[in-house]
Amino acid sequence: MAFECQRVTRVSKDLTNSVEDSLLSQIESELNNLNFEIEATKSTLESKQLPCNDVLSNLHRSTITDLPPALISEILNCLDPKELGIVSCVSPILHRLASDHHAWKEFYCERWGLPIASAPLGAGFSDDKSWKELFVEREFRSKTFLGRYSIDVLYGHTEAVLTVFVLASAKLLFTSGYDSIVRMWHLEDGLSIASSKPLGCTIRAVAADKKLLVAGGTDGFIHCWRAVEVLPHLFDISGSEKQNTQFRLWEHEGPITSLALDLTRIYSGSWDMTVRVWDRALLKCLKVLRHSDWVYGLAPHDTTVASTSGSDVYIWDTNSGCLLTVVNGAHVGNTKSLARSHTGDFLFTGGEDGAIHMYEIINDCTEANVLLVATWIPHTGPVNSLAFEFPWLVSAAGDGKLSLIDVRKLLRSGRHTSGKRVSRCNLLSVDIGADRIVCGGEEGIVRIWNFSQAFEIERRARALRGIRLENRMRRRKLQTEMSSKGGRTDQCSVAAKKNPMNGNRRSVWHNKRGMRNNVTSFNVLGDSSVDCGENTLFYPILHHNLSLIPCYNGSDSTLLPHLLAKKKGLPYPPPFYSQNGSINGLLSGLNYGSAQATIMNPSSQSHQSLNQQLRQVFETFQLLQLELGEGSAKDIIESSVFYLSFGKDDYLDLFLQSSSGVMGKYSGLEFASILVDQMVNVMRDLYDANVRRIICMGILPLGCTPRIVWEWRNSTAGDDEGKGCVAEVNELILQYNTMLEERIINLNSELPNAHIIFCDIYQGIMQMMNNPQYYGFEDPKTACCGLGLYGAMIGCLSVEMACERDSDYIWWDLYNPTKAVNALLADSAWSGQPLFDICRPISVRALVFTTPSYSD
Amino acid sequence: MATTSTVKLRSGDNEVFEVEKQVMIQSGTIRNMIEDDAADGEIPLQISSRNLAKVVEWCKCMQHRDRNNNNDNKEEEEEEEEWEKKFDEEVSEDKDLHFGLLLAANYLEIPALLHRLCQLAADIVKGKTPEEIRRTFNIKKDFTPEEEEAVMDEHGWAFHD
Repeated sequence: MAFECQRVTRVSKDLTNSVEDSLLSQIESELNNLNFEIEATKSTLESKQLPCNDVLSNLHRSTITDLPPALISEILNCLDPKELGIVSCVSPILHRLASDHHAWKEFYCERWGLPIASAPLGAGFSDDKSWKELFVEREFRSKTFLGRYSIDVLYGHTEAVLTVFVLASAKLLFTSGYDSIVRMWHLEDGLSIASSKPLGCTIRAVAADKKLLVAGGTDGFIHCWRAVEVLPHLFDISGSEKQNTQFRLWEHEGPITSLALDLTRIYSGSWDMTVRVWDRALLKCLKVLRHSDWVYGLAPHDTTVASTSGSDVYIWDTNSGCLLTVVNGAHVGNTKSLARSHTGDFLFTGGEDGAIHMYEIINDCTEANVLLVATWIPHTGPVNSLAFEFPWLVSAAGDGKLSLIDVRKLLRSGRHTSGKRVSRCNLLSVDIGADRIVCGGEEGIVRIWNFSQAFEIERRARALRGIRLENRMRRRKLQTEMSSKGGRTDQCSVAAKKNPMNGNRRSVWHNKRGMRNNVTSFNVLGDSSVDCGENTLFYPILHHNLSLIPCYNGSDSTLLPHLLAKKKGLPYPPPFYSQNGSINGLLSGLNYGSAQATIMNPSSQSHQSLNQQLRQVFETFQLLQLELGEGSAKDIIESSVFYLSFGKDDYLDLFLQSSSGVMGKYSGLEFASILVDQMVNVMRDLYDANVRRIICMGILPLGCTPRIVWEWRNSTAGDDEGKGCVAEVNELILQYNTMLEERIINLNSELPNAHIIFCDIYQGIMQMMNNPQYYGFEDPKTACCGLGLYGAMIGCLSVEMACERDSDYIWWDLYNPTKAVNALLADSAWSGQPLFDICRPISVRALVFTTPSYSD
Repeated sequence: MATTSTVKLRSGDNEVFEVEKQVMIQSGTIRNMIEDDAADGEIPLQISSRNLAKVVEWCKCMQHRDRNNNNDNKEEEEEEEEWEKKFDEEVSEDKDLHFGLLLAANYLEIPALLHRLCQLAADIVKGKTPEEIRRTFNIKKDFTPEEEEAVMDEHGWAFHD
C-alpha cells in the first residue's frame, strides 16, 4: 500500500548521507533527534489518547482545529513549505502547529543538508532559531542570486584554472589548474592564504571537507592533505609546518579529472576509463568501476556514484561495484560535467554540445531508472563545469558564459535560464556556495560573484515592507475611525498627518494638497516600450519574438518615456543594472524596465517581470534611506514620478499563445482583470512607499501590429479587409485599457494625495492608423525593420535591415511603433496636443507641475 | 480461545457489525484484542454506526485488494479503483464524515486509512488562500488585526514566487 506521507523515514535516510561536513558527532545527535521525532509521531498515532465519548460527541464537528493536535500535525505533514506557510496564516492554533512542525527541518535538510554553524564554535544554532526560521531564511537567501552582486577577481594562477572548490563550512576556496599549484583563498574577502609547491603536473580536480583536501593530477596520483586542527585554515598546503600532513595515492593510470569526498570514502575519476572508490581511513582502493571511455565527472551520493564517460552517463552501486544503469549518448560529443542535488535524486549533465540535461534517478535498491526531466541549451560552447545548490544550477562554458538556472521554477513550469557573458575566454570550472559563485577560466584568474550583499539589502527591504504594512494598517484604522466619528481626526498617527481626508471622496482629486513642484526623479518600469534590451543582468539568450532590436539604433532614446523625460528637462534614467551603487546615480531615478517584461510572473525567459522590477524599486528606496536618512529619502520619493508601461507581452506570450493554455482557461475579461489587479496592487505598493505621482500607460492597439495582422491573415485565409487590424485582438486590449482606467479613477479618489494618470496610447495610435496621411505616415501597416509581408515574417535582426525613412512608418518592427509615433504620443501626453486628451484626467505636464488645485 | 472467525463490533449507537477477523486485523487496536483473546464477545466502540460502517467497508476493500494483489484481474482492479475514487470524493465533500473517520482511524489504529485521510485533507488545503481555508473548514480567524498583519508579513514569502 502506498502512503504518501512518508517524509520522515525518507529524510532520516538522507541525513545519513549528508556529505558536506565531517561533523560526525553533530550529525549523530541530529539523527538521534530525528529518530526520537519519528518515535514521537508513531506513539501519538498509536496511543489511544482519545477519551471514548470524544469520538461520539463529535459527530457534528466540522472544524479542523477541533481535531487533536497530533492529527492536525499529521495532515500538515502532507504539505509543502509554501502551503505550510499559508496554513500558518489561517488561525493562531494552526500558526502554532505549522510553525513548530518538524517538517521544516526535513524541508531544510532535503534541500541543503544540515546547516553550517555560523559561529566557529557552532553555538547550538537550533537553540536560537526555529527550523522554520532557518528554512525561510535559507530559502530567501537562495533567491538572492538574481540580485545585486559584487565581483572579486583573484589573481595568482599563471595559467588556466581548471578546477575550483568552495568549502562553504570553512569559508575557504581551493583552486588549481595547468600551473600545477593548488591555491587556498579566503572566500569572503578573496585574499590568498597559501599555495602548494608545484605538484609536477596539471591538476584537474580538487575537493575538500574539513578533514581532508585532495587534488588529482595528470600523472594519475591523488595528492592529499590532512587537516590540522590547530591551523586557522585547516590545511598546511604549503608544507611549511614540521609535521607532514601530505601523502599521495597512486593507482590511476591516466589523468584524474574528477574527485569527490564523503564521510568514509574518496571517489576519483580518470581518463584511464575508471572510477576508483577509496576508503578514507585505510587509504585503500575498494572498488574499480570500469567504463568504456574517458571519465570526465562523478557525483557520489549514499551508496551510489554517478559518472560521465564519453558521451554516456553511468550510475553505480558502490558497495557491490555493480552498474545500476547507463544513459547512452546523453550528449552529442563528450559529457563533460556533472552535478547532483543534495538528496541525490537529480542529476545534471553538461555536454560538449552546449546543452544541459536534468535527470531524475529513481532508485530501486537493485535497479536504477533515469528519467530525462529537462534540457536547456544555454551555451554555444562545451559546458565545462556544473555546480548545484538548491535551487540554482550554475554552468560555466567554453563560450565564456556562465548561466544560472532556477530548477525550482523549471520543475513547475518550463524553463528559466539566463546567461551572463563573463569573459572572452573559455570558462573551465565553477562552484557555488555561501552566497557566492566562483568561476575559473583560461586566462588564469578566478572570479567570485558575491551575492551576500543582495541578501543584506533584501533583508532590510523586508523590514521596510513591515513599516509600509504598518502604515497601511494605521491608515485603515484611521479610515474606520473617521467613518465612525464623522470625519474628525486628532492625534492619530503619522499617516494621518500626511493624509488629510475629505468627506466627499469623489472630489478628492481637486482638493488634494499640493506637493513639491519640482519633480526631481523619473523612474520607469515596463517592457520593450521602455527598454531596448540593455537592461538585463544576464545576456538575453533568446529573443523569442524574433526581433533583436525593438528600437531604432537599439537605444532607448526613441522610446516614449525617454522623450517625456526630455520634455520635463530631466536626464533620462539609466538602466537599473548599469548603476555602480553610488547614491548620486539614484537621485534622478532609474529605468527598471526590461524588454519582454510581463505583468504575470514569467514562466520562462530572462526578462524581469513587474514584481521583480518592483522589488528592485524597493531595494533602491531602501538604499536611499540608508544613505540619506528617512526624511530626505521620503522627500525624494515623494517628488518622484513613476512611469508604468506593461501588458503587451502578457497578451503576446500568454494569452495569444495557444501553447500556454491560458486562453482556454480564462476569458478575455477574466485575463484582463487579473492583469489590472496586479497593476493596481503595484500602484498601491508604490503609494504605500510614499510615491505620489504615477503615469500608467495602457496597451497599444496590438491587433494592428504587423506581426499579429500577419499571423491572423495566415490563419484566416487572407480575409483582412478594412484597415487591416485584427478586431478580436484589439477588443481584448480595449477590455484591459478600460478596466485599468476605471480602477485608476477609483484609486485616485481612494488614496489621499495620489496623482495617478492613465495614458491611452491605444486611442492615440488608432487616430494615426485611421488617418495616416494627416499625421505624415505613408505606410500604416508595414514594419520598417523586418522581412516578408508587412515586414512581419522575420523581425528586426539588424539595423541594416531597416527601411530608409522610418518616419514614414507607424511600426518599427513586429510589435513596436517607430520613433515618429512615439514623438507624437509624447507631445500629446505632455500637452494634450495634437492627439487630444490621451492622458487622463490630466496631462503629464499638469502632473509634473501639479499645484494645489488643477481642476480642468 | 479464538473459536470463531469473526468479531462483533458494537457502535456507539448500539448497532452491531459482524466482520471477519481477517479484515479487522488491519486495525491495531482490534488486532491486539484478538491476540489477547479478548475479542470473543462484542467489542464496544465509541464510534457512530455511520462512521464505523465506512471504516469496515474500507477495511474490507483493502483486504480484498491485498488478497488479490497477485492475480491480475483487470476488471476487479478497475472496480476497486472506482470504489476508492468514490470513497475519496465522498469523504472530501463531507467534512463531518472526514473528521469522524480521521478520529476513528486514529482510535482504531489503521495507519493506511489515517494516511489516506490526512492526504485528502491536505489536498483540500492545497492551493487555497488562508481565507478560503477558513471558509472551507469553518475556522475562526481569532487573530487580532495586529497579529494578522504580523503573521501575513512573516509569511509574505509563501504568497508569491
